[in-house]
Amino acid sequence: MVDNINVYRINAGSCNGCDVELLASILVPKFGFDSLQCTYTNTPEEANIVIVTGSITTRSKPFLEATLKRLPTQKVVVAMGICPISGGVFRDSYSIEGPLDRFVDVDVNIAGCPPTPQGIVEGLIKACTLWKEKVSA
Amino acid sequence: MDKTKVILGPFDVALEEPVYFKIEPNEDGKTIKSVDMINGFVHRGIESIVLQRNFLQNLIITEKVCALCSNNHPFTYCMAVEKIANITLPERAKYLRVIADEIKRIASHLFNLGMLAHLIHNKFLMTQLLETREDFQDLKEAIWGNRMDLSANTIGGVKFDLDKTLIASIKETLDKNRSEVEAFIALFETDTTLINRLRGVGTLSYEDALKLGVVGPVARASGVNNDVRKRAPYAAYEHLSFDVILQKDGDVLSRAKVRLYEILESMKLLHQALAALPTGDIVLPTRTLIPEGEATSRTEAPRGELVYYLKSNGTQKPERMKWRVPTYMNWEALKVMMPNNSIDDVALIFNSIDPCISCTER
Repeated sequence: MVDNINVYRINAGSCNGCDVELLASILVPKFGFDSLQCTYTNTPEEANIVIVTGSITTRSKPFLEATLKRLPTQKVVVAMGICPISGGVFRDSYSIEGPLDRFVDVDVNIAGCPPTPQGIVEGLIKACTLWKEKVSA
Repeated sequence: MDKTKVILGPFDVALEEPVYFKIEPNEDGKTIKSVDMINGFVHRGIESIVLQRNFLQNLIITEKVCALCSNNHPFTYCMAVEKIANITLPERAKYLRVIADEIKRIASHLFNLGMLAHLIHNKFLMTQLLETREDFQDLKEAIWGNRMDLSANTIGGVKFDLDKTLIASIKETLDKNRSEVEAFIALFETDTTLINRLRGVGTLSYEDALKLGVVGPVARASGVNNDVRKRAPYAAYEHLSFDVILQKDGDVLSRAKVRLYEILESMKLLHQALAALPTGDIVLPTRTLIPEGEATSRTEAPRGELVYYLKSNGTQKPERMKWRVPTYMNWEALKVMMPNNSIDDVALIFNSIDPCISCTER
C-alpha cells in the first residue's frame, strides 16, 4: 500500500511554460491532483517521481547530472514538454545537450508545448501507477 | 562550500526557474548582507537559432523564448520586421494584437500574484488567484487553442479572428472576474496580516529605480512612469484610454498592487478594443522576402519594456537579431532590494520582480 508519493522537479532550461502549467495542475483543485496523494519534495533523495522540464542546456547539464546521482535507484522519470523529449525547436542549438534519455531512462513522456493540465495529470497518473507497480514488485 | 554562504537553487522548489543564489548573511545569520546570482541555466542559444531560420519560422522561435511573455516576443519581432519592410497593418489587426496582449497580461499578472500568495503560504488566496487565472486560460484556449503559446501574431497582421461568440465570451469572462479582482485589491489594501507581511520587504526607492533603469511594474511600484503603451504607443494603444498605475513605496506590496490595478486597466482596454474593433482584413498577403535594413521596436510586456533589434540583408533570414528583455533590467535591482531583508524572503523578493529567466538567458 502506497499512501504518499514524493514528486521532485528539475527545470533543466525550460521556457517556464511547462513549469507554470505543472504548478497550475497541482495547485488548482479542478484538475484533481490532490487525489493522487503526491507531495512536492525539495530533497532529491526522497523522490519517487522525478519530473524534468526543459531542453537540458549545457549550463544546467552538470547540475542535472549531479542531481540525478542523488536520486534513488528506484524511481519513475517523467519527461515533461517536448523539450526534454526531443529538444523541440531548440534541438539544433550549440547549447542543447538533450534529449533527456541520454542521461536517464525515461518512463513517461508528457508531450506538448506546453502540455495541457489534463495531459499533465494524465501523465502523472501513469507515473503513479508505474511507481505503485515498482513498489509492489 | 563556503560556510558563510547560503545557497538557494538551481532546482529549489521555491523557484519557478533555475537560478543559483549565493547569499551572504549578516552577522545575525538571519538577514541578507549581499546576494550574488549565478545564471545561464536557461541559455538555449536562441539568438543563434534565429539566424538559421527564415522570417516566418522565427515567429515560432520567438514564441518559445518564454511562455509567460510568449505573445510579446513575436509581437515585437513582427513590429521590427514590419518597420523594415514598411508594412502598414490593417486596422482590425492592430486591435486584435492589443486584445491578445492584454488577455495575456492579465493571466501573467494573476500567475505572479498567485506565486506571491504561494510563497507567503496563503493557500486560500493562492487558490483564488489561480482559479481566476484559469478563466483567462480557458479563454485563451477557446480563442487560440493553447493556454500559453497563442501564436496570435504574424508578419503583417494576426492569425486569429474574433466572431460574435468569442467576443461575448471575452466580455463574459471580464464581467465575471472584475469583482474578483476588486476583492483582491480590497484585500491588499486593507488586510493587516497581508500588508504587514509584505510592506517594507524588498524596497527599491524612486532614485534607485531611475538609476538602475528598471522597467515595468517594478519601476511603476517605485513611482517611475515608463509604460511604453503610453510613452511610445504602438498597435492600437493611441486610440485607447487607460491609466498608468503608479505606487510610491517600491516594496513587494506596491509591486503586487501595481499588478492588481493593472489588471483592471487591461480589462478597461479590452472592453474599449472590443467596442471599437474595426471591420476588414486581419492580415496582409504573406511575405517571405524582407528588404535590407535595420530596425528596433519596443512594447510593454507584462514584465516591462521589451526591445527588439533586427538587421536584415535582403535574404530570407535575419542577419542579426537581438533583444533586451525586462528581467535583464530588473534583476540588477535585486542587489539593492535584498540586503537587510530576511533570508527567508529571498524567493518572495525575487518573485516580486516577476522574473523571467528564460527571456533573459534565452
